[in-house]
Amino acid sequence: MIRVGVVSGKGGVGKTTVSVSLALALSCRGFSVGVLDLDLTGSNVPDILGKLELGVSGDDRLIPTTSRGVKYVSLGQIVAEGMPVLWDPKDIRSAARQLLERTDWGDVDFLICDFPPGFESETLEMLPLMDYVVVVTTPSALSRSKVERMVEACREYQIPIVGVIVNMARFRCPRCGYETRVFSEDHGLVELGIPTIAEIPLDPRIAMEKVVNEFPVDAFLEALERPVLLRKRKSVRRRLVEILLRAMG
Amino acid sequence: MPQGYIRRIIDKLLALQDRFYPEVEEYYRAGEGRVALLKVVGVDGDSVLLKCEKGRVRYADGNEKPVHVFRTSVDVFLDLVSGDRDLRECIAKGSFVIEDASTGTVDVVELEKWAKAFERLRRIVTRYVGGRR
Repeated sequence: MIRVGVVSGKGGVGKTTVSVSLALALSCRGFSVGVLDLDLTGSNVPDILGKLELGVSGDDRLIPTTSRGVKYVSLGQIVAEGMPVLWDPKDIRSAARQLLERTDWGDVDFLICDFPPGFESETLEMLPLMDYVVVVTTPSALSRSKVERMVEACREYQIPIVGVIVNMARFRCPRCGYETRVFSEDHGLVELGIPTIAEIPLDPRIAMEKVVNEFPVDAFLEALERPVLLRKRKSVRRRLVEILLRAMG
Repeated sequence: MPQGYIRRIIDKLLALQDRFYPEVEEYYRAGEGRVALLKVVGVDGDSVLLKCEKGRVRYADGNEKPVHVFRTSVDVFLDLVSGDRDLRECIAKGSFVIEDASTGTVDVVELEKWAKAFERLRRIVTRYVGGRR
């Protein structure tokens, strides 16, 4: 199982949308995929994939819910809908780790982990456990400055960065389809050595299906082969190659 | 062990238990080996630690090692048992916590198990008791 963290320094940039789209797109390609919602105090994954009840196995492990071929686990499935999660940070950290380690993920090839914005307790606990991270940002200067901090954290933890996905990169007019850049032209993180995997336009008519269908899975898989990293992790690369070879039959 | 008001009440209750339920040992044989601990805290801070073993409630000496610790207030607990509150709501707000005693942090698997159990209990209570109150 390859753990891919979807991170950002800022909230509201579309981490959950990207996480779920990536998972569904990989699933459509024949990979076995799981989604772990690590935003414990603001979980959104059940809002997209459906708030279905988790199971508990006889050996005290959570059984993930399956929706549209993707397995997922979220604290939002355990607590009541619409309630704030008022937990001690140490409980948040522990729960995040348990959702990963005490869930029966089965033969999942990729586990997409949707992180909370910034450096919450869950991030500090779980980021070092990731095999790769995908950075999500919007073209605004505010988002970009915060993303740079996240990139620095990933470098510090020596986690390979697959690339950056720029969400809301352009505004697509619902009437004529003309695309306009709302923010600056220069929104990538190229000067940091991080390649841009994809740009997702802001489209009021956009549906999840469209995002999934247009998701650049090939670019993602190619980027996985050459992540940005200071020190290579050979064990992770070996597992990745095994999964890709299996998917190719 | 403090000799206050709580202790005097529990002494009486334990005596009643032995007097009225002599058959309970046989009834609860299935649960043998399992120990449940309950700490009763009075308004004056007086506290008594009890254990439920082989179907009977006894004073605990504090050396028992529980696997999980439930942390809640009396009000919340009574509301849960009477079906007036939803356990998943209490879990979110942190007013009902199940801790793994070995780590001292929340146990998410136990939370899900107990949330399911209390949902069933709530349905039963609402159906058979709720309408009569």
